[in-house]
Amino acid sequence: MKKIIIKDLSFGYFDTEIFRNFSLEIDEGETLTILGPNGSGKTTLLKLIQKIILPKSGDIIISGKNINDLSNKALSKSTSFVPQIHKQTFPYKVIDFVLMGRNPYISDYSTPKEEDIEIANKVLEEMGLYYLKDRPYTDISGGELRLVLIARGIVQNTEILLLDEPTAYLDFKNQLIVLETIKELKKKKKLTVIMTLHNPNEAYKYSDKILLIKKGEVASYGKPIDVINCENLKRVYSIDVEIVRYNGETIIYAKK
Amino acid sequence: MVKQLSTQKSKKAFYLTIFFLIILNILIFLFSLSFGRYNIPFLTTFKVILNKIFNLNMNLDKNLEIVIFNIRLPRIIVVMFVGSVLSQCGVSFQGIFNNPLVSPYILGISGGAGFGAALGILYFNNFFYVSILSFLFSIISVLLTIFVSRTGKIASSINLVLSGFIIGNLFTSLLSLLKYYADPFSKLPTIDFWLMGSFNSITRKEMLYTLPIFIIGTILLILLRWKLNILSLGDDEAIVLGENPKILKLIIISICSLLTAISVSISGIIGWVGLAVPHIVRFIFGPDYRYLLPISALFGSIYLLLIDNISRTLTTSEIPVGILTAIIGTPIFIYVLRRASK
Repeated sequence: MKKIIIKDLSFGYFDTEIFRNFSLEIDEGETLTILGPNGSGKTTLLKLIQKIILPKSGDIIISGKNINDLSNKALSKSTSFVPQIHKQTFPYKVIDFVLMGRNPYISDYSTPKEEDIEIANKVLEEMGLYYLKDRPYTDISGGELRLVLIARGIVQNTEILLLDEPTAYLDFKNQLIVLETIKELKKKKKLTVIMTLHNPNEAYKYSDKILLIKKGEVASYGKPIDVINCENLKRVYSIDVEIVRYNGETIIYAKK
Repeated sequence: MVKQLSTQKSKKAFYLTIFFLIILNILIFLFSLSFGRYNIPFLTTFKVILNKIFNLNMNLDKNLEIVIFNIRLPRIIVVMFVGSVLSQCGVSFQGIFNNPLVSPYILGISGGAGFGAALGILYFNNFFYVSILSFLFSIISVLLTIFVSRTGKIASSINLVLSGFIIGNLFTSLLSLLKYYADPFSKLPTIDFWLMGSFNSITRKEMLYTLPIFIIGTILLILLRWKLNILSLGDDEAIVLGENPKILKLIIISICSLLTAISVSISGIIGWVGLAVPHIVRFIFGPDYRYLLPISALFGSIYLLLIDNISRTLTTSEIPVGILTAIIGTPIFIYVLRRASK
């Protein structure tokens, strides 16, 4: 079943056009990775799906509903978004920060109920973050913060999870932990995951489908094995790439 | 089991704190009624109050009743609400502008209020008109700030803060112009004294006009306290969490501007309360607006009332309260900042 249908989407920042009549269909329960050079519109696409920014024209349909007809509150019950950069202004406790993911279910003029707090606690426990619960979220490591942001998205209890460069700024081990966590959560919660990545190796290993874009245009779209090849990567990044298969793994690296 | 206890524990601690602060408010309120240049014993004050409320016809000095009910009561109640409201607006603005160093005057209110008051002093010299003009120009300055910030392509928080700075400065310059032409022996000192902030001129009338708005504004902000948590994460994430930050911010800015403008119009520009109180409360009770806002509201009233008591009684002539809030507020603020960054 098609979970997200994007039809004839056009968008630009000031006079720079990014998307022109962009169309895409995303299946339910898939992990889709958007891959492409800086400025190709990866983050923009995620923000358009979450209505953080609004398109010039075109439609985005989620589970059969046009997001133009949905309030922010209604949309936030079906999609959640994990930003790449998060400015920590006030030192909220990790549990209180994660609890904010319950906001779509909290009526106006009200505060979280006991069951909201229980849900937040349960998600922290499931993700192995319970030990952080009472720490200020300004005092945790970058890897932990990324997981806490994902936890907030999970607490939102949505069918679609959008992640903007979930591995950015993380060390080697934390990159692996974050991607494995996303994979596990997707399986357990039957999520449709759309993320942007920069590393084609990560994209190859952790995606059901890959969308390769350049300047808002689809360069290639399909299964990793069909999308990730030397010609496609060269076309998009303008560099020579070598692909090696070793011990059942596929390794992609740039040739100087 | 352990989890449940811990959430219940923080809620329990919160309700206990609120209860304790309400009791403290009442005690300091009663104490302030007896306290002043004309000292009334605490017990006598209590008797006068009971006598008035229950019509006991006790044999008491009529002057005591006048001092307590006509002079001190309106002033003390207004002081408590102004302290509370400035703290609430400071803490709310810090949330919606994602910046802990923002004060209730960030949108240019102090400049507009000062200009309006000076205009009133020059042309009417009647406290009531001074208040009305000061209120009007506070609102005009906020509206101008919002208007100027919207002419840019991105109506961001930074735009609003910048516009507030510009409009505030414009009115401060216009105020200087009025001061330059004001009579240096009668009008100029009055303007300067007004700008320092004082509760000297509060009567029953001011209390009755302002109280309903203070109460309604406080209730609205307390109802919206959870939303301040969401807004404090920035506009993009507020959208992710299902809010409409533009509308929500406009509502909160309107409530706070009205409350601040009314406070300023009857008491002048009282700085540092809206900055010091939120920091003290955040330092002790944490940043969560569910607790931070109501505690700031109750702590702000105590804080300003204690300072106003000092201003009333420290010397033979009253010290403008705005001077004291700055002298007392700055070292507290420095202490909290240093401790918090450790």
